[in-house]
Amino acid sequence: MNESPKTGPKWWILALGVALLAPLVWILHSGFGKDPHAVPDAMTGQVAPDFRLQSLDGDEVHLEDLRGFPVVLNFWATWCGPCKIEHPVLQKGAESYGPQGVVFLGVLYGDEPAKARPFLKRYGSVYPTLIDPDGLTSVDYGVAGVPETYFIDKQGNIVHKASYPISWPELVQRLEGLK
Amino acid sequence: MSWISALVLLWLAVFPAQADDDWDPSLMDQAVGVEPFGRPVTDPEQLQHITHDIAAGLRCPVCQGMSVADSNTEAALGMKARVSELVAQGYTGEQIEDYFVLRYSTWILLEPPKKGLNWLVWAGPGALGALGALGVGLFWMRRRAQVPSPPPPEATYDDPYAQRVLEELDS
Repeated sequence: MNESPKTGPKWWILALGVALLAPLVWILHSGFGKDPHAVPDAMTGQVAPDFRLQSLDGDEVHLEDLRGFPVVLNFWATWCGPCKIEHPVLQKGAESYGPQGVVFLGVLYGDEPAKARPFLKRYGSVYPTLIDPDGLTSVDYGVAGVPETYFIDKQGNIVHKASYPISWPELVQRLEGLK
Repeated sequence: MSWISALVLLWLAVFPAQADDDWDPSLMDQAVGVEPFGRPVTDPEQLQHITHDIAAGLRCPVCQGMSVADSNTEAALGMKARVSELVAQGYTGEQIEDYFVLRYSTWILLEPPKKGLNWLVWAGPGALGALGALGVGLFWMRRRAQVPSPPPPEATYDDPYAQRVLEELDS
């Protein structure tokens, strides 16, 4: 009497399935933990792109002239809600750390000086706000929206980029690291 | 003095301001860091055409799956202006892509570059399709090999005696 061939579980099919699915699961798992709208920060660690921009008061600011000083560069706009929340934090930072040699600069992003002036008059202005015609400096810094704040060390390198309204504790922590 | 110290001194003598060269405003003003590889584009129509082509390959950072060329947001307008300026100066499409990748990472490219792990994106679907076709082919061949051959036609006997014996055996 003939016996039918032994049919055990097909382990190689299972192994192949796992091998194919594992990378997919890994990709999905890593993707779920990320904000799909977040633009990756590629600027931290790079030399801060130089610029020569006019302030709302008509003064010219050349970043290269500030070498040797830590710089906090904040891109903002009057139409940006989070910028309004962040504004007093930066003002307080400039008042506290300005005398210690930290330079605060604002850059107007996608906005008009005519709207920025009354805003600053109302909410306070202790550091210059620069006008970025055509938004070219914003592009040089990889700005994707506002607010964005760049912390530049004395050597002119970007040491941190905050793509969110910065809080007072974080600002203090960053500035202490910059001094 | 050791030969290493001598080498260091020689290096410092030849390149005394190497560290300061990192901060070169002229290069930063050009924003790319290298000389243009191409020729300056002066014809407005050609400039617009090339700018559009390059901008079409860049992702608008504040839009949903839209290219810089198709968007009129502040971010996209600034990027288009920078592309146009760089094209006018003679920077090639590849140089301009590098400029944006340096600032926004490869995320900014609507088509991921064909290198490294990105090959998975390009070759993955084809490879999976081929693997699937192979699996289906193997399954079909095995199935065909396992199909039992049709049973031989039952024997019939004209002889009534033999027929009766068969009926007895079957019952």
